[in-house]
Amino acid sequence: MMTKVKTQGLVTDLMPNIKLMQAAGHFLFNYHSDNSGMSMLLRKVYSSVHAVLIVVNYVCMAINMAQYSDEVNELTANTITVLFFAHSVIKLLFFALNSKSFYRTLAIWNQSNSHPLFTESDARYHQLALTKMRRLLYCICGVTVLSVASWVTLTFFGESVRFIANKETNETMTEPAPRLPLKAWYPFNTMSGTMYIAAFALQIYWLLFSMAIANLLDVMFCSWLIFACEQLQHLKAIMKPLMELSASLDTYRPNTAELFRASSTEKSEKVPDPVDLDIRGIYSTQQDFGITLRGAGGKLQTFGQPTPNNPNGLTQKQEMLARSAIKYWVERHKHVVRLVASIGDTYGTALLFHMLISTITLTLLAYQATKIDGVNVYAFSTLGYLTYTLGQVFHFCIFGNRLIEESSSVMEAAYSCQWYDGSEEAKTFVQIVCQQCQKAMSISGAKFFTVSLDLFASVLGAVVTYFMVLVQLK
Amino acid sequence: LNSENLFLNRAKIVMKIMGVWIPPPNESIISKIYKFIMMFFQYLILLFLIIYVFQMWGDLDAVSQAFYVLFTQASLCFKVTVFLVNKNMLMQLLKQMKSDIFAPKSAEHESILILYASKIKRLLLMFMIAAQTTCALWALKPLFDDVGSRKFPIDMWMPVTSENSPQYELGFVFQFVTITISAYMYFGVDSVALSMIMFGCAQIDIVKDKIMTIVSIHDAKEDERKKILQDNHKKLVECVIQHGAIASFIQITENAYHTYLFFQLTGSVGIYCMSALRILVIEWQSMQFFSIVSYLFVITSQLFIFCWCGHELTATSEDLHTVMYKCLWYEQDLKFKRDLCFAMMRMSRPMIFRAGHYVMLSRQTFVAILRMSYSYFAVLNQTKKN
Repeated sequence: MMTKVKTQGLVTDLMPNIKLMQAAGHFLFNYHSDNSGMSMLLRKVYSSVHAVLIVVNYVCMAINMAQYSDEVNELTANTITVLFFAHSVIKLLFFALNSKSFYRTLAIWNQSNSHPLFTESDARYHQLALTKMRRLLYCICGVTVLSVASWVTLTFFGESVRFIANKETNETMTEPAPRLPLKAWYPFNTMSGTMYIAAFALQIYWLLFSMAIANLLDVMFCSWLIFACEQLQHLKAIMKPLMELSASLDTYRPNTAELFRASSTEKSEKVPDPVDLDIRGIYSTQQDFGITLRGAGGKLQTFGQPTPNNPNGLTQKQEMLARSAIKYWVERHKHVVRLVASIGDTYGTALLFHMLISTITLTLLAYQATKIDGVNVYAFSTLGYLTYTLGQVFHFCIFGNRLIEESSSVMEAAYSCQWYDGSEEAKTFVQIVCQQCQKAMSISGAKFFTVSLDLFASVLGAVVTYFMVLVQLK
Repeated sequence: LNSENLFLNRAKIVMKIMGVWIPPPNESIISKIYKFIMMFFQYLILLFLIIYVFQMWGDLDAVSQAFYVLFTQASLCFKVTVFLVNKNMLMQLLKQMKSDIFAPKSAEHESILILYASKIKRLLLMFMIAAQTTCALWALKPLFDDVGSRKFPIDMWMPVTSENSPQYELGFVFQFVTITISAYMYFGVDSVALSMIMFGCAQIDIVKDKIMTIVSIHDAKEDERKKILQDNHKKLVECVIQHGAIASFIQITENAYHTYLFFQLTGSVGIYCMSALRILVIEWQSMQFFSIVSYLFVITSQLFIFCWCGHELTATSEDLHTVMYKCLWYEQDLKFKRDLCFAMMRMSRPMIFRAGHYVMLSRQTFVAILRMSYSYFAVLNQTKKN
């Protein structure tokens, strides 16, 4: 049986997503426990078969579109369907070509720093991120399955016809077409019989897998953003105990136990009394105190002599703990910035393609929407396409917006933590942090646009404008 | 000087009469029943309106007439529900209003508070009068416009017909009273949200006043200088703490009331279209025309008050950054200057009140909403002509 593959960091958190992507046919060949040549070959064959089937059926749909391009309504409807599924083909190809970049982003969080005072907070926010990521995955999987189910159900309603333009009289006639979910050209006759059933089954498989391919990649992107946001929340939460710790360095306080008591006025991170922690045994040398940078990372900065005028009578270890807390915070923040930059580099181009195709699709859908004349199959299918396309755009816009808000609110958290009582060192730290955090971290679509709710609002506004203009032109 | 009473006394009285203010800890069963009955009537009217719209679907005129009353009623039900659901946040806000940080420390501060309170109360009074006028005009419509035929003030599905005598009067009174109550509830809930924002503005002005009382050390004697410097630094720290408290106060207000504000802003666009379409068809001599015009005035004034308040908050907090620079910082010690630098960095970010955590309340938003409504109205008008 397959042994549990040893993973760390983001890969562990995103394992269900990765497994689903491998099942859907993405060219994701890492993160298996068994890497023998035979099983790798089998996996490559599996992905290639899926890729071939998806591309072939897509080409059949395109041929159908070219075949019946005389009549405007038929052409518009077919173009929308072709564009709709272009997302899946593009995402499949994009992942196959850029898998190195994806692996690199997934590996960024493999080694993270830690500090004994803040491990509890770190674990809590990590768990929160994990819960949210799982919930998002289930939600999107549910939506995908629901969409496929409703698409197949809708096939059985209404007339199964296609529109043909009569060349002599220039009016539209209807011609019977096979009752399939998607209009495509097949080399065999699919009007009835076993070939009809085979084509139907193929199309159901195709619908499910192509939607899954597109959506699962988007879920991975949004999960990365969720993780980054929760890390920023963790950093905001430990700001206050960190300030109190730093304040202890050169503000005279009579009682060392007072130093680490969390302020009782508001709910804040519980800073444990360091004499409870078994630091005396573990951190006996200056080399292995506070910060443990496992694996790759910078050289550990050794602090010099402890300040001679420390009036609080802190032991050397306690003082190192206080100083190392600031370093932990800054290093962790830099790590998050690296993660966000890597996410942007990896997925930015895919977002650009997505937005380009969605814009064209939505324009055509606005035109289709002007022709709705009642509650029928046409109305449902047009509204379904609209909702799904807008929903996809909304999905990554909302998470991109959350990242922007979280990263720009770090400054407010830093400002609100009673810095005026702190030491000069602490104040300088907070000031420099605030300067950096004034500029929010954002994801851009290959530098063309920023992913935020403004983008979604402008897309929605554009659709409504086109709709109104087209309605007036009728 | 009790800030809560200064800003909210009218709203409190109105809402206590309506039974929807924060209940005391040991609320009697009678007041609970009273609140339930009030809310029940409002939701009942909403239900009747929805039934009417479904009945009249297809007739654009009748639907547009019913639609704007439907939207108003839906907006009110949503508002009062959000208000009641978020009463914990309201209690927190009221507690903060009474806290030491926000207490006025001099006559100057008190006059600032009184000034802002009177500003917002005047605007809300104007809104209240307009709302009551609209209700009165709606009530007078059957008496003036359709004399002879007995119709109800507002077209909606009624469980009783207008033929039988006692039922007609009962139905008439029921509609009139419930609509008037809904206007008062509107006034009450909006008062609370807007008063909180204006309280925040007043507090920012108080901070400006405080920082300008930084004393010069130029003329002081040598031994007094240290003490003055310490006092000035203490004042700066007080200002910083107060600014942080104002920011969190506004944040709590936004969290409590942003949903219905967003709903109202987006709905106002539809209201303007529908009302404008109605105005074009009705002859201008009738009572109905005046009632629609007065209704439009009410909606516009409400929208404007919100956008104006949001803009006041943003403008005042931007001004604070400039005023911080105007104080006598160059005579103070290094510690003061470094702390001032940090405080100004934070204050360079203005406080923004966002409806639905997204739409910024400002005068530009008001103009944008009017523009959007006009373009939708133009399209609908064109479609109707064709």
